Amino acid sequence: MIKFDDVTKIYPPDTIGLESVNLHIEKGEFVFLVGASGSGKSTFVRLLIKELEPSKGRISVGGRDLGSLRRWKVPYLRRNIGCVFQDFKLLPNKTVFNNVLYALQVTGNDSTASRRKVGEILNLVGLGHKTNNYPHELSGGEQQRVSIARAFVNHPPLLIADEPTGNLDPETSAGIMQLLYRINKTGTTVIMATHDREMVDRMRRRVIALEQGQIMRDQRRGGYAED
Amino acid sequence: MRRIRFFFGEAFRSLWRNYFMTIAAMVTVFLSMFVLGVVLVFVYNINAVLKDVEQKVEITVFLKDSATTDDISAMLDEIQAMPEVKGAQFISKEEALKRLKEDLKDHPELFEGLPKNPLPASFEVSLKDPEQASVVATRFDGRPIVDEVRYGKELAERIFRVTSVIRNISLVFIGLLGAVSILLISNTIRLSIYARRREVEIMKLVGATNWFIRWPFIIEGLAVGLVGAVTALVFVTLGTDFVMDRIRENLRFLTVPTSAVSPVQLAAILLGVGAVIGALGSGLGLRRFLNV
Ligand SMILES: Nc1ncnc2c1ncn2[C@@H]1O[C@H](COP(=O)(O)OP(=O)(O)OP(=O)(O)O)[C@@H](O)[C@H]1O
Ligand SMILES: [Mg+2]
Repeated sequence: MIKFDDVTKIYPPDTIGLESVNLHIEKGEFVFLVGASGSGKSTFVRLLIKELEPSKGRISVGGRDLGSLRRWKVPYLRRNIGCVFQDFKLLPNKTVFNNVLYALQVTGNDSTASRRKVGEILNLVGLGHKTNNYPHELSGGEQQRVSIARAFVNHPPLLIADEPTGNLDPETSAGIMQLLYRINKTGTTVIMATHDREMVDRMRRRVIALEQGQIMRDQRRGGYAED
Repeated sequence: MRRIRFFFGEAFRSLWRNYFMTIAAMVTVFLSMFVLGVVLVFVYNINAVLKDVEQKVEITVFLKDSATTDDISAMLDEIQAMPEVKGAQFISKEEALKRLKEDLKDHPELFEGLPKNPLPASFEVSLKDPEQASVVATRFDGRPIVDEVRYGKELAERIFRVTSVIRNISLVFIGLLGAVSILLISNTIRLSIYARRREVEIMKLVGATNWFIRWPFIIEGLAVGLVGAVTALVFVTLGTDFVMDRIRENLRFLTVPTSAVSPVQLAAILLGVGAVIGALGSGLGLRRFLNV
């Protein structure tokens, strides 16, 4: 599903984002991406959706080489990758409902069926009663759930969550974790960048640990720190 | 269908949010389209009047007051014998005054205390072919009883020379206003994109194509252009009706055609130009963005 082939990202002039990363992620996997602040997790995510270009190396997603993907095709790549951002990235002038619907509208889906789908997914994340609120009227955890609903409403084959539980209390975090777990159960590949030690230790999934842009550890059923 | 409604919804919400810039851009489009409309109506009407003048009064030969009845009847015979001439009529001084009084009968005060009749007697000559007016007209040059020869075409040309200056100045003015409108619209769009650059970035991250993001902005530009043009159209139409009525009331002797420029034509031109200005404006505003 995802292949990194000796990928290096250097931010001009000389900040290392990622360095010589090789990895392979299979369809349906659940992967934790861990590492200290500045270790390169977000860089990894941004490379995957071609928001950034690697300075060196090759990345392929779903069998497609991102380097040779034409610029106009990038939106189609992104529709197949649901992305949950650490800072939510909700559209401030749209209601919760329209924020989620937007992800369908960009694909040309704006039918009654797609509206029903938005309602269903908002119920699933527990926000059925806040569909007509604006993002600024929601708590951080609620906004994060809207962001997840938007990322998943298309049922993309790949879901990337960059610190989705970043600023949330443990209980809310657990709820979101539960949601991602259920999404993974439907066959979606999930990659989650996180600092949340407890969560990673509890889940016992594949863990890729980054340090200063390099992969220090890639463990099939790992914990946050080395066992 | 839903998609189109969506684009329009996005566009109008954004216009509403930046209402100050929206109004500024609409006002400039309105101004340029208004001037364009006025010039169009003006040029069309003048042309129609000129054609009318050219056709109707073909040659007028004004006579000196010293001309005797014999001179006059001899010359009338001569004119009527000319092969190019269709007909000729003698208008005496008295008759000329009577006609003028008839034309200006709403303003009898103009004729009060007139010591003597200031109008000259004249021949009104109509031709088989109006093109030959200048040839025929030169034949009267230098004749002792002839004071002045005027022919419609000459008069038309004289009016035309003045109006073409006015028209050219107006066209330059329209061009400038048009450029200002385009810049203002592009600025409106640019500001509206700038204000929403974070939103645009999010849209792109969620998989929106550039065109999906662009359409609402283009509709914004078109809407501004069209609203400006429609308002201008309304003002020009009402304005010309009003002005024409006044002209017709006060200058009865000038036959001003009821409607020299058809409303449909005027509407098509103004709305078309308004839409082009709007589209150019948003195109310019959109040029350098979307590189997220
Ligand atoms: N746009 C940028 N320009 C220059 N340097 C950058 C840029 N973005 C990230 N970096 C640098 O690249 C390195 C990796 O950053 P990255 O955002 O990938 O870390 P991270 O693991 O996501 O950190 P965090 O856990 O704090 O989110 C850091 O040293 C950071 O300063
Ligand atoms: Mg990060």
